[in-house]
Amino acid sequence: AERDQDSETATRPEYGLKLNAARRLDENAPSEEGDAPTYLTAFKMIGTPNEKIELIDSAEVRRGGSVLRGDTITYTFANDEVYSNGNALVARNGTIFKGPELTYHLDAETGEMPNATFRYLPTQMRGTSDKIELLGEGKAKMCNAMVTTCREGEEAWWIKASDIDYDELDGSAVGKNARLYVGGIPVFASPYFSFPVGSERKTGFLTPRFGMSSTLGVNMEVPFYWNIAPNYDYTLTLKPMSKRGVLFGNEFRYLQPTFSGQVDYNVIFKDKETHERRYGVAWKHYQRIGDVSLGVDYQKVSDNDYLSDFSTTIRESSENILNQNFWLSYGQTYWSTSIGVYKNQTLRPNRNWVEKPYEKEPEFNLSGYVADFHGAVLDSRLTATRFRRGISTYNGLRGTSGDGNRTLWNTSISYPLMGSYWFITPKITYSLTHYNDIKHARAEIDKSSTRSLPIYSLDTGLIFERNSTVFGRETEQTLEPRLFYAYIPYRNQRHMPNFDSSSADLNFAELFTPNKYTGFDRIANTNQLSAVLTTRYIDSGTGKEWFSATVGQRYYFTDEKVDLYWSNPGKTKNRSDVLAASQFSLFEGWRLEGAIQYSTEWSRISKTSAGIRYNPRDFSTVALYYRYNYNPNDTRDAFYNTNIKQIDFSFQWPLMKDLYGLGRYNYSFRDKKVVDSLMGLEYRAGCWILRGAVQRYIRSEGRSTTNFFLELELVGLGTVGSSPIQALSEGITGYKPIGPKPVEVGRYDYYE
Amino acid sequence: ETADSEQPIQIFSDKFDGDDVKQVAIYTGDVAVHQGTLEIHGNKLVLTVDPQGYRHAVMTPLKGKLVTFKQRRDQKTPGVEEWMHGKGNELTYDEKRNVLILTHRAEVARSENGVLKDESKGDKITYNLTNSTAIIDGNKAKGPSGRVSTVIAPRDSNMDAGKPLELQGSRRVSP
Amino acid sequence: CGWHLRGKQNVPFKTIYIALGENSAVRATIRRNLEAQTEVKVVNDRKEAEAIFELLGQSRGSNVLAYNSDGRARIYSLRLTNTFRVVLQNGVELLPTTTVSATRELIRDESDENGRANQERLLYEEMEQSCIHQMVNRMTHISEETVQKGMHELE
Repeated sequence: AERDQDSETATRPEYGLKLNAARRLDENAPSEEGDAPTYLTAFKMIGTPNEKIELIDSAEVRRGGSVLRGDTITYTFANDEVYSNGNALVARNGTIFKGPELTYHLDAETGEMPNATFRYLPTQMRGTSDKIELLGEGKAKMCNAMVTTCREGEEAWWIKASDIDYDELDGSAVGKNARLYVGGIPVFASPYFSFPVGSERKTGFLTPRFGMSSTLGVNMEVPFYWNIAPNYDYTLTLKPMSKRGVLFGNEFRYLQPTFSGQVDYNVIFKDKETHERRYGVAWKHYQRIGDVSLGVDYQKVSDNDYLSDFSTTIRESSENILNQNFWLSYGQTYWSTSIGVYKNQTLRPNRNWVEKPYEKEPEFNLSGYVADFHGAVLDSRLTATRFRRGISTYNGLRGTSGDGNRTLWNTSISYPLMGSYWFITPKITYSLTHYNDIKHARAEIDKSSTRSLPIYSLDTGLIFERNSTVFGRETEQTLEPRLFYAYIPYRNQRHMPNFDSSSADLNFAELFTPNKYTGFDRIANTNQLSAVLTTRYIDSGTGKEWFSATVGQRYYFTDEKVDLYWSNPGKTKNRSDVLAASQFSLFEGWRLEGAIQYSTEWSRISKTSAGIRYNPRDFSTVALYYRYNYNPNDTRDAFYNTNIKQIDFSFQWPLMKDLYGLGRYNYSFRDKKVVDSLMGLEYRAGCWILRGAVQRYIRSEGRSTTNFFLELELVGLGTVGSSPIQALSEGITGYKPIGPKPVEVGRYDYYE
Repeated sequence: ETADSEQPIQIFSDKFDGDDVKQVAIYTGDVAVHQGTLEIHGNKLVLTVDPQGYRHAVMTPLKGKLVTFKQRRDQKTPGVEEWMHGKGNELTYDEKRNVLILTHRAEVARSENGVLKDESKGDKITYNLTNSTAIIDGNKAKGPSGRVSTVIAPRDSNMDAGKPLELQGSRRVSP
Repeated sequence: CGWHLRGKQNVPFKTIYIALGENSAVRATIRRNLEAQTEVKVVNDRKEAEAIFELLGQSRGSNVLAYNSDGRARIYSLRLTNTFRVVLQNGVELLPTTTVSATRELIRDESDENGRANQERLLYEEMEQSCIHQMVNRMTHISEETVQKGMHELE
């Protein structure tokens, strides 16, 4: 707070410290603990100035952030000591200590309190101790202490420790020879136990986890956290599994001002089922030296089925391309350059064929970008890549290798012009691509080839508007017709390799993109016009869009002659599928959304994604979605197939006070099977939360995995058991785990 | 100082009328009482003498003003001149108990070399002139707001280091 | 039936500074939209501007929506959120911290890993435009009295 200059002479005598009006509660105003005045109050005082003052009857002493209370308090000037007798209390940094008596040195902020109790207000963690020694800098030491977060008389769990080092600032603690009692029964003991888990990086055993899964059997996780240094830590997790054996999980994290990263190495030396050593390694690293930045994202597993066997969520078990990337980049305001090696490990679970993406050894990139050059947008990118993949075999068939080098240089200039009711954006791109040293199994692919062509596009639209009241709301309705024209001349590309091009999935983003192929190896000739009409309903007060509907289609005026690979393209239709999408979110908590794609070729709807969601408040959400993708040309086996016809119903809803039901039912009509189903309950009782869930999801070749989760969360301490939270968050739209949100203590919170 | 009680008492005022029979003396108008380093200021002083010969005085201020007193304390540490200041709606001097009793919004403060060190407020303050201890009483009926308060200036940062604080209070104390 | 070409919207501040990198594409797009739809002038010096646009955070996320009968992820959604606010020169919030977002769905084909990465980039660019339009919409609806209240807040 600024110090006012000499305002009018103060009516009260000054203490060399003037109270100033502060505009805001300044979280980091300098706390003048050292030279703060002391305020004493009581119903009666007997004092000899500068020697001793006795405060009688609801006495209180305040200095800086500390408050002391008691029936009577004697303050001795000489040693700045406060002796409080009868209902003694000291409150500082968010923690309150109470006891029959207290001796306390105000300046040194040290003191002693026998048979004391304490309470940390942000998390309601409290406890008792034979003797609490208050040390400086917000620390305290407690002998023979009991700690819990349950209300008095309802102690469902507590921790007993011979002594506890307690940190008042965030309520974290480290207990020596601690024993955890749940329901009065000692369930866990450890010579050195830090809690609550995670909030303070203290070395020690973290709370164990138990779980049951059909692939791993009964399993348990016992993590040991070692806080090597403020910026290095290591966690060893032992995971014994009845069906597999013991998995050793190692996680090492490092954090420095210029670089940070994490190394994971999980290994099981003898898997009971496969009798082999199986492991998973991951290294993520990011470093910045001046304007140069360096990165590593590397993953490797011992075999194709490692992930699907040892992961506990459906999402993890369906990953099968593991990145192994190393890159170096240097950036300036208007240009940047980078060089990197991008390899990968392709997993083929139970011998399903997964195409291995090309590896780039290396890829060099130089790009320039100017966001506003007198109104124009300039973007130029030069990329040179050495594609390597080697011969990939599948059931004895030799795949097409097609290693080779590609250099491309795309330069574009666009000039976005707009007014309040119109916009027009012409854009010209010149694309130059050169292939050399191509080794390809197919004869017609040349050793080296070049392609250069221009791409012209014009994006324009108008915005009509009218004000009206809908559902009693002042609304601005808009009607926005938009046209996107693109022209690309034909270039024969049958003699060129295809490293990373594929046909794009039709969507609204793709409607406004000239080239129908993604990647850089195929540029389809086209003369097309996309037409889209959008209407929006915008709340006049806040500008929030609570309803929108949009419909769009593309018209082709020329035959496409460029095929993705080497067959000749089929007859081109003159109109694309019709796309339509809409969302409605006017009423609090309700959201209705839908999107369809109508296929002109099969004159039927080929894609649908529609859903309704009701989420009035936290922990209460219901969602029903229908997803449909129809592609008669995709007749590949179950592993690959992209045909989908499913409903997905999920909910988290309070059944009774403090009891929440959770569920997901994801049924596939096409396969007449439940893809993913989950049932769970969450019960919150003041200081503990019980979470249980059973999940069953299908895995490859009709097999399925059933996971059982049971987790006891001791609020403010940590969790015991296997946590369903990740499975629930992935399965249930809008799921939020119940339980207190972590809170950090501001200087002015919990002021006594 | 403790030596004050042996000093002669001088009383100045605009008007004086005494009644020797009833042993009552009334001074009114800008009344000032001096005894050694002790100084008391007010608007009206009623002085009576009890049968054992001990004097008893009640000083009241002009409406809206306060009765004030100040007295120097025996010097304990060289170079540090300590003064006690007090004020209140009414001041009573009881020679037998050698105390000054301030009532209704009473305040007592202590300064070192002109710098205010601590200050106490309460409903009634009984200030002992011999050992300069003060008993401050609150008013329990008014609940927490009826409590008395004392503020002690920061200890280590002696005031001279900071902005020297000239004690406007002392000029303020005598009306 | 009442339809007319959208006119310029009146906004209660005349100059705004966009606190983003000098060559940021988002900054250039916001500037073009604001200057097209309103009389506001985007200035390059923070101290000269009456109002200041602050982009507090951007986050991207993806979630699997549907698995096929072999347990492979087939439909998944991408989500881009932008958190921003508009403050006066004296720090008072004209538009409190607001989050806008856009989500798009994508069919994933196991055999086309490169295709997926390119399509994601395309979708994120389009979602960025949608978020910018939503943010501009919110800014052009800041009311007159919030500005007056903000100006006199601490005189």
